Amino acid sequence: MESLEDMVSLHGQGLFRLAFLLAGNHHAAEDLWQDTMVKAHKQWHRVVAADHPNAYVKRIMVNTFTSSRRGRSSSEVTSDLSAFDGEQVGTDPASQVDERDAMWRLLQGLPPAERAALVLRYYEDLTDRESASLLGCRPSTVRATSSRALARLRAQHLTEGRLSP
Amino acid sequence: MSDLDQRLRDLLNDRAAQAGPHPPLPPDLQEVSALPWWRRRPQWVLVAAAVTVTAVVVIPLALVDTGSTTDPMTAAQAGTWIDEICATRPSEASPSNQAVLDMDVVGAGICQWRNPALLDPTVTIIATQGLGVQQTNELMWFLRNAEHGTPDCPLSHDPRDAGYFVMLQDTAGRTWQVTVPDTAECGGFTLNGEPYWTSGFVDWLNGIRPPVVAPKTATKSLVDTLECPPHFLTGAAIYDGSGTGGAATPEEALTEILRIDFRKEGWTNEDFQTLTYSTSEITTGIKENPGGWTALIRITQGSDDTWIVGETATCQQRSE
Repeated sequence: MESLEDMVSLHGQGLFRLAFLLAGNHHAAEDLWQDTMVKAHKQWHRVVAADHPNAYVKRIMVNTFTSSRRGRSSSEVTSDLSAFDGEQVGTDPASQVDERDAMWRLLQGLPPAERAALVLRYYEDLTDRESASLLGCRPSTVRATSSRALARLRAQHLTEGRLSP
Repeated sequence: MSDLDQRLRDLLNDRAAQAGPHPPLPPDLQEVSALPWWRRRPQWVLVAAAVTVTAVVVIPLALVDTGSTTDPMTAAQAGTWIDEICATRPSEASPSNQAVLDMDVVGAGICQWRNPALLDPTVTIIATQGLGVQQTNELMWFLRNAEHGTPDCPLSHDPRDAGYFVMLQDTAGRTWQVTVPDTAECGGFTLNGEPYWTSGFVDWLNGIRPPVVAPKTATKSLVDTLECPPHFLTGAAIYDGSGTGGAATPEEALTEILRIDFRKEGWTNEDFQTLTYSTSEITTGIKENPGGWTALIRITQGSDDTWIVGETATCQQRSE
């Protein structure tokens, strides 16, 4: 891999999907994407020197996300649960879409570090150790962060009656 | 795999598929990289302008409004008093006079810490342990009441507050430390580790003696690790906020110290922007106000994986 352009052609789509899942919408994802690429370009010598350049860029992205959101994290609120009808989810497609929308909004309401931990675990299929490497923390911290996030999601989802206890 | 696990996995894969194609790289990335942040994110210029206006207009007003709990001593007063204390055997000193003076010194330091505009260059609080603004005010309240012969018990009795202290330093480099003992019993203080708590304030006052802690030792190590920007003078105040321990995330630790120590100054979470996140164990936050003061906050992950505010320093911008 000789250039950032090469890396983007190989891994760009996967990186953008990660950005989208972290940021939660297209505009924010494009901002996160651009910031990540600018940083990767500036540190390209480190990227190519890394054992896994793609993972290194993901790390830049995750840290950019958690850092840029840090100042705003405390002002973030979870989705307004009263906006949901609280009916049990049935099997029809409409209710499934509704359920996913609700879950997506709850996910966006999590603090950035918790959201990132879940995305890395369930989308990237990373182990706690691999996630810890990307997040720049210890595996035990990843475990604690993930379980806290799951507990929060579970509690909120149970409140809506959308999840079996 | 639990129901929630599976739903999360399905949801994220479903949403990822909706992300669409990735945007193209900027045509001239080198050029974009070289752009300053206000060119790449012009909206933040407006935000910065709004924050500046707010800070210039609101914060000075707030400082004037909140003021200090006592007037700071002048440099000459403080220096004279400390010289007197050092030259006089504690048992022969006048408790009543010293009570007033000492309270003022503590007050001067606190005012300086909380309100840079009241900076007195002679006496400085250089470190506190587990002692937030509220607790410091409680300590001062106690001193004030003890002086009038009505010692009460305003201090927190939470055992987690045990062992907090205020450390003062004069221009000669002498360090003074006042510690609240473990039990935080009414009227109980220790000075440099020695308990004076049976009859409260007078015993504490009579126990004043040259410090155990070597001057500047603690200050230097803390300031060095905080690495104030080169155009800033360090050492106005340094605060060990380990009393905010136990936060699950760095964000929570920062929120906690903001809630405890900076909220009264009108600072908010948004005033702090993370500068570095260099390792898993350190986060440094910074907030600059128009008076040229900067707060640096180091957040450290403890051995139990919780996050604490390790150190905080405020620094004054050089005038030149």
